[in-house]
Amino acid sequence: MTGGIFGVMAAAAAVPHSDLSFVALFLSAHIVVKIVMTGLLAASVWGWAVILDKTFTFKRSEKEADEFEKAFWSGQHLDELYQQLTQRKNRTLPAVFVAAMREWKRSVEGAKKLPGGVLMRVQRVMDNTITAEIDRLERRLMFLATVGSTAPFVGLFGTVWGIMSSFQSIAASNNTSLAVVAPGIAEALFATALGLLAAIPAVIFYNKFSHQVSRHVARLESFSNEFMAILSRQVDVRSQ
Amino acid sequence: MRKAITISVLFHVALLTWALGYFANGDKPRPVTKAPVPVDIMTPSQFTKVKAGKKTAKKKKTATPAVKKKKKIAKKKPVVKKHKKITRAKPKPRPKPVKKVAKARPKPKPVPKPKKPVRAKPHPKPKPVKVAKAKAKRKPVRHKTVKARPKPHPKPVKRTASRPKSAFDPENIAALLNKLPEKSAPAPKRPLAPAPRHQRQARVEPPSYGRRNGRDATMSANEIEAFKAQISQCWRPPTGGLGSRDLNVKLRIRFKPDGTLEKPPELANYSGSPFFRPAAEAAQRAVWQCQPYRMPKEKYATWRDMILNFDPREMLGG
Repeated sequence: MTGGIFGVMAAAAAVPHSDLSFVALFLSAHIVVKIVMTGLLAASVWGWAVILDKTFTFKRSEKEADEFEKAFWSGQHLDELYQQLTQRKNRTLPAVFVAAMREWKRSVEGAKKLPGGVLMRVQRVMDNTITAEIDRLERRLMFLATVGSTAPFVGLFGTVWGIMSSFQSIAASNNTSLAVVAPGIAEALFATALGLLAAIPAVIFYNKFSHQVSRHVARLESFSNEFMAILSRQVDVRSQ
Repeated sequence: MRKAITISVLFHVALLTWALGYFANGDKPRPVTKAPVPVDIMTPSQFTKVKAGKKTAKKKKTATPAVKKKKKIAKKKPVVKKHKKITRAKPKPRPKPVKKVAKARPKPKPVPKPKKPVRAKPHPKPKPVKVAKAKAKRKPVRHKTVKARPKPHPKPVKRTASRPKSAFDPENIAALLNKLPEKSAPAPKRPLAPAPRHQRQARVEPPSYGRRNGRDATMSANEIEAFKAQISQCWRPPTGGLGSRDLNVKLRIRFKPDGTLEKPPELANYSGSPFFRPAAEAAQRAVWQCQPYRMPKEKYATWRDMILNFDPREMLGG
């Protein structure tokens, strides 16, 4: 029997047919990996909801700001504009304008002599409104940042756990064949895939939105400065 | 925000359903990896056929051993003489081992020769005669050389004494002769066959290539096949890796009579390849896991100690 050539393959090892579909992967996963996967999926759903919501918000804000600036510089009387705008709910630029006008009117109307400190008060009101608007625009953006930075780690945790369990199954079966290792690794990699799936759009859109917020804030501040210039000219005219 | 959430949920549901469909199709490659297996299942039958062919070849072997016998009988006398000389005159060690090695080698040669010409059964007869002649010629020459060098060396004497026994024991030869005719019934001249065989089983423990081969013939193709099938059930050679298909692993295995291993299989070869160790371990595991082996107990001597060659190429259908 020396050197007996040995390559005959009878009944090639009944490899347990493991289903690699998503459902099977999820169901066969360890409870920890299941939790990780569910959490990541939820993060992804919520992250996309935030992304879509912010997209709509910014689009609408830009549009409203454009329309307002157009009306503002069209030479229309500011009181009329104010009357128009108070009819509806305002955001960002119009909201700043409305708040400033309200404060101005309160101070000026009915007073024969211009009270001192009007400009200061208006400035305060506008700053307040801008802060509130920034807060509104930035709301939930932190969630995107968090998902973007932690989801990969959470996925990695699931992967490590899955690989640990696959190594345990190797140890349990004394067998290194791919059929034993593969399901655990597939399940593990699935967790990382979910993590990346949640994190990548979150990071991309967080960067986009934070840039948009800062641009919009700059726009609001420049408007408030210009409006202050107009008001102070009014004050000078009236006090003469 | 509600609108955004709905859209997001819908988007994820769509993505998941797409992924489900995609990965369900992604199962396709798996059957492909399994495909080679049924192909491999086919090979055993082919293998048995091959073995059967060897069986027919053995008939010729049985003819050739008859020739061997002649040779050996012819040799025996000189061998005996040599032994006598060795025992008497210890001083002539160096030349002797050389001769014996030389003698030992020519023996296996005649065996393969007859195998090749499967059709021509008559051929072996003339060939052995020639060989016998040739050997007859050689022997005298050796004797001369032996005589020519009379220097005494004590250490080599031991070697010569031990080697001839393992490689050249006349009793073993007799056993071989006795055994082979058993199968090829035609030779009724050796009725003593069974008795010396048992003796030999007891004796022939130290393994050596040539002899095992000779005995190997006594295990039937079916028995060999069954053994291979049994091991191959446990053997998963590591797939992938550069040149891993060329990694032959040779294991030396010693069995107990009940078919279990006497001790863990030893590696009989080595390769520098980084894939060699996993391959070797896979083979060792296979051998270890598959015991006990169903082997013909009456032929224990033939499988007591063997070297197995694990060739992934055949396993993988390469």
